Amino acid sequence: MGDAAAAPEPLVGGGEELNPNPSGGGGGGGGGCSESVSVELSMGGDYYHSCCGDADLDLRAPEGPKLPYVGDKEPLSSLAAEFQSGSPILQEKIKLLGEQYDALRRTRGDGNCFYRSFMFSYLEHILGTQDKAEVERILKKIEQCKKTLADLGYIEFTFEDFFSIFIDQLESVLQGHETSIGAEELLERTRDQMVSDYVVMFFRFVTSGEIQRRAEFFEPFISGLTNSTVIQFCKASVEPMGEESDHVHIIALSDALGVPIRVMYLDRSSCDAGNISVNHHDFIPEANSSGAAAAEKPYITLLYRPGHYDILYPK
Amino acid sequence: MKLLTVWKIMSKRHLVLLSTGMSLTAMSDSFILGPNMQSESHENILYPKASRARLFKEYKEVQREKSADPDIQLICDDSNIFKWTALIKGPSETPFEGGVFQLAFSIPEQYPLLPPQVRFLTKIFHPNVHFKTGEICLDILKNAWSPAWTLQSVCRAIIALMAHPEPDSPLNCDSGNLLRSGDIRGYQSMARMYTRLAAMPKKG
Repeated sequence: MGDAAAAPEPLVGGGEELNPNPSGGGGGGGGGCSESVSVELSMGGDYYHSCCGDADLDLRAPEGPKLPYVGDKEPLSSLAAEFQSGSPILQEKIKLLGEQYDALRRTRGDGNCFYRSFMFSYLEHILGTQDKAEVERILKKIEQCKKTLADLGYIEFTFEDFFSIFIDQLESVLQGHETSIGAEELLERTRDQMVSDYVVMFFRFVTSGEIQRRAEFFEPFISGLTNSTVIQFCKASVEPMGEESDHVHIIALSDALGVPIRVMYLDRSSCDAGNISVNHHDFIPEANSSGAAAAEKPYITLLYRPGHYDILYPK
Repeated sequence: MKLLTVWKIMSKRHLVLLSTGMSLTAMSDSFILGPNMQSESHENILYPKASRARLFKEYKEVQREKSADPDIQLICDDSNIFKWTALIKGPSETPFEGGVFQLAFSIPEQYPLLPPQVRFLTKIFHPNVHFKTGEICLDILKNAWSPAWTLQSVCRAIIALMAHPEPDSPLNCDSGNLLRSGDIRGYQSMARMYTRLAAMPKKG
């Protein structure tokens, strides 16, 4: 896998550039096309799990087509009710969460929940704060992301529509324009299949570009997670819709756009029985050349349950 | 209904693009925009609108790059931008060398969020192509699809698949079994025979 394979489009024409790598050995034998053949990359398929699929039954978020992409704001007590008969550790943790957070918004468990949570949370933040400086800052970052993809060999027309849709949403949440929208409309758009999926795909492109741009930095994380190369990982686990997100994706997106993200972990882990606390992790963007974002406090908080992300609202 | 605002912006952008493209080709507005373009609202029409715009960009790229990839010839249906065919050359040093294979593309309205449906129209003896239907077993046409792929790069991937069969995931078990049992000669002679029968112009 040389540099030429960085983008699905080999820069030089000709099939050789694709360097097909038929998944070595193993794999599903037998008839049918249960396991598609991988040309550019070998997809093991065994190193990641489907979103919400294998998660702990008790912790599993509600799934299925009934739940909108992004749900209504619910009091945190609805989470407590869900775990009423669940593990005491979880009940205790939810109680602790309740000290800092008072509401949550669920997202559909379709493998895109992280991106969709981020989309709504970020746009809602801009809508609420009308922070024009932040919009200008992120627009600059988005320009850099475009350049990153172009430098990696991606053809502009393959990603530009996804970028435009996100920028449209960003401009719409700023008030005072002909095209401005309010909270209700933002929710409606986030639930609109096309707008929502296009924005998710925008984030996937940005994430993939950032991981490939800083391949050396991400390589150890990725080889710990899977046994694929950085490019294979991006092609198999970042760019396709429905591929679940992990720490690597969150770091990359947070860095690429310069947006800090806090994740609260609701799992069964506990240091010792008497002293339960809810773990959290702040993803703080790497200090960029402007040096600004260093100690910024995240305004986006996500609730993580194994295999799923929802949005949390602080008190 | 309120959704319309954003789509007005979208369409303005695309119309600029289309008007610049128009001079380059003889395509008509209705061909690219489709008959539904004017009808208001309703999300179902937004998908085909976006996919038409994308396919038109691919069309322009194909016209521009015609000579860049002599092994692939992509042709858009005269009246329907969602139907394409491709002629691809069998890769050299494979039993498909010398053959020209026809592929049929059927593109869903949600393209490029969803992959194009592609199958061989020309009979081919290959473990990952269904012998009767021409269906192709390739991950990028299924779960590993992303909009970063194009019709052109899908063709390249299929050429690569022809050169690198994957017998462990066969759609054509006879072909897969020959390779799996190590009968390379048997596989190659069968594949070459079908290439001669189906993918080469008849002599005389």
